[in-house]
Amino acid sequence: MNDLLVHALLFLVVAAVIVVCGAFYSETEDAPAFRLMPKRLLWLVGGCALLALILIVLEKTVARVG
Amino acid sequence: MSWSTQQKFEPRGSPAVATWIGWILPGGGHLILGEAILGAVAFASVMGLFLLGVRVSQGMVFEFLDTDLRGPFAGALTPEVGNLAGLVYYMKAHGFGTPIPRSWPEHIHLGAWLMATSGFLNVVFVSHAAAIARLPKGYLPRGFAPASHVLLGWIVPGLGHVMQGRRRRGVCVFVALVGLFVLGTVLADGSNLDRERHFYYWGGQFLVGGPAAILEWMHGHAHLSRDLRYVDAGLVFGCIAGLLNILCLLDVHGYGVAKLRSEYEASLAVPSNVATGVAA
Repeated sequence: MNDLLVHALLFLVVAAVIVVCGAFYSETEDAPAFRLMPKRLLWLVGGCALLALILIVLEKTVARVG
Repeated sequence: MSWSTQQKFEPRGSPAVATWIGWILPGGGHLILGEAILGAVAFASVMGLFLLGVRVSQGMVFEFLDTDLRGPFAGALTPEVGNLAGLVYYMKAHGFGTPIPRSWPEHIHLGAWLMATSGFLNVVFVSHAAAIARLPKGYLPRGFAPASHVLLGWIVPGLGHVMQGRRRRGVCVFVALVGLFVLGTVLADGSNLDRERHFYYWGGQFLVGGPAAILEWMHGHAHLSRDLRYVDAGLVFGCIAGLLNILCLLDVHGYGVAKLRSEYEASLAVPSNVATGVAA
């Protein structure tokens, strides 16, 4: 399988677990915690994707080696 | 508003002080709250477990650590830091061993588990001290909850939630954390199950508790003869699973403390109702 795809899948798995535990920690009741999860997952994945994009741009421009 | 909710009770002590003192010296938190016997039990069990681990491992566990990572604060990221008195004693008495290489004792990994478990056991006693500090003087709940639920949540992730009656949450936590840990172990082909090989990652995944102990007993310390493509991801997953269990155990502790307080307030509400009935 494509290496990038494997890494993306592994990231989604760990992101989902982080979101589940984070939502349970911040909400005492189950229902609000479950409602929060999709939004939190989207924020986490979106934020990390943006960070990755910035790093790639920097790597190709100002931080280029060689 | 009912009489019981208007009633302001004076807490037994400061949870923060009980936590700090209990962390520095096992049982110290209970001692300052006036629970000398519980304090003595905490001290004896935590330090007893720690010293048993030191004896079994012949004081060589920290020699697992790479030479360039050794330093005065190297123990700060180990599970033993939960038992600060034990850790300080260990660093003074044994430290990182002698410069001359020695062979490991036969049961050094058992010793490592005992020492690390003493750190977590002290956290459980600190959880109990912090909980009873929030309750009024003279009121001691019958069970050991929420500390017992914290301990169960370490032995089997999610079990603490289940014992509190939050089954759905407990099952979700179990599937998420044990699943992540097992996936990490598969990716690392079991190479994560060895404190000698991955000293600090092991410290993180130790917090998964029972599943980590069982897998290490079954498959740990295996020899590797090939490159593992996703070994880094496997190590990180195992470690993250353990660290996230701390978040879940904080949830168990917080919920348990709130429940104890509400049970106490409910017990106050009984005379309130009787009094209302008499007045009517």
